[in-house]
Amino acid sequence: MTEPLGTIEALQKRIAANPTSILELTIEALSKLDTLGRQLNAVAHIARDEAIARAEKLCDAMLKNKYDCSAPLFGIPVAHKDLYMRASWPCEGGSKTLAGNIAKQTAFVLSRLDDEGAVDCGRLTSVEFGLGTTGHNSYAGTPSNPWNQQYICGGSSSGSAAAVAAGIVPASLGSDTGGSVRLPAAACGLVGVKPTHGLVGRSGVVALSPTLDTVGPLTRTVRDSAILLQAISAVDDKDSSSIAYQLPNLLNLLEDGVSGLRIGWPSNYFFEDTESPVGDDISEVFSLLERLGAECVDVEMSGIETANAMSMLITAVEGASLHQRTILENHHDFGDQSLARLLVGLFIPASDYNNALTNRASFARRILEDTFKKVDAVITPVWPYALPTIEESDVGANPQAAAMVLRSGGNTRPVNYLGFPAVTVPIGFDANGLPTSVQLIGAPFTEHKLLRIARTLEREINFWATRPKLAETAH
Amino acid sequence: MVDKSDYNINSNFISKLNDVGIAPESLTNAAATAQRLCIEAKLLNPGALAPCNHNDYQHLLSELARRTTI
Repeated sequence: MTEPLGTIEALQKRIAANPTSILELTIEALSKLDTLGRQLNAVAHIARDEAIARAEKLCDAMLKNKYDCSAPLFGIPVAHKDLYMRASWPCEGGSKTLAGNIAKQTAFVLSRLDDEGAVDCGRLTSVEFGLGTTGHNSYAGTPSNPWNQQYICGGSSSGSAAAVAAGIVPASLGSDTGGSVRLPAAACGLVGVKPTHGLVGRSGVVALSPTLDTVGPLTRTVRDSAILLQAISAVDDKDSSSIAYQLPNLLNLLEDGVSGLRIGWPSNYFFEDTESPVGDDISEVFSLLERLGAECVDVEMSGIETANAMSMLITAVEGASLHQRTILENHHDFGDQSLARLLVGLFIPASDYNNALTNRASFARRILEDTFKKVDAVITPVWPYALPTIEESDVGANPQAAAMVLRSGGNTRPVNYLGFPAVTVPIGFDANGLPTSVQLIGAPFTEHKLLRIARTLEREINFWATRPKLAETAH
Repeated sequence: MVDKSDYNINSNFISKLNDVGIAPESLTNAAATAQRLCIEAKLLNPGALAPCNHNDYQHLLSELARRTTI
């Protein structure tokens, strides 16, 4: 069994003790990407030369005291979903329609991570343009779940989840339009953060639905997610939805526990379509939070099922609009499932799309008033059922799976319509030995509270005391 | 985006999709899914007497950002 690359916190200690370990860690991450990463179908592009040059430069700067080496991400190797552009690097968005594409700009958030000293090692497999929750991709490959390679790792940030769970890199940025950070994070036992809409700039990230797209981290620990979120939250002048908000120091608040926080159990929607073992596990977590000092109450999120449909409607229209020309000129290069999902948007009346947009503010206000005036966070399932295998959920080979796949995002999509923040955190394992998780949803700009609750669960449950049994094979 | 409330596939644009080789069955399925989504979305139309637009949402978030304190 191969030793995973440590968490950001563990790697920081190594680097502080020995600056030259920046280069060692980068080489280790690159090697793991090339072996285990490819074995898991998690890799889209390895930037070997660029990463080594960057690590050497950081080593040199640290040895000469030329840099602020105290930044938490200084010298940390990372890799991101293949929707993140870096000038002169390949970026295919998981799609044959972009085969051979070289990016002409660098994503805002990557510049932020660069400023913090992170070492970008490459790109990880994405579902085609982020259009899918299971991770299937007939062009770029379907990543396997490191906990059991017969099973899906979720999507659309599929490679990010596989690579972080397998210990190839400690952290990765994914994107989330309807659950694409949270679903794979939950499937692979990771912490996933979907920030408040507008908190993190998105310029330079391949879009699916500009109204709903968000970008956020996948990591093995809550602390690491907090470090990444703190680094990337800033006003992005090239993203018109970007909002000026100064996040509090997340690390300072992480260990504050849940005493004094009110946590809601939604009495409608979220548990109605959830299979019993999943619901039972979350019920136990709810009781645990109460024992730890939280005030736990039932809440209603009136009309939330409508937000699920609104989210799908907006994504379909905006995705179709972005890809309309390619659909007409080159539709054979889309995967069958992606094309089927994009075509839906071409049949939605403009009036319905406009109404979905214009209803968003009043809907969000109502949920704030009815739900989040009563509680600090709502706890829900992420996946409504036990994780399926890659074969069971392959809609191309097995059309009956379509209904199951559609259900997969039912607990995550409404949050994108609201634009509220959500954090997923692992809570245990199902009967097949695969991770189970909960989603914590909060009011806008309350990421610090959600991370605090997640950290409390992490401390109590200690999920990563167990880890995937993986063996690297030479590629 | 095509503004088509009757979901038939005989408009100019949809004909183009047929012309480029997208199977009529795929278009019919997409139209059916679109119709179902529009019904499920249960959209409220506030009408001309209470107009609102997409910017209201951005304004709401900006207001919340300004007012949110730790």
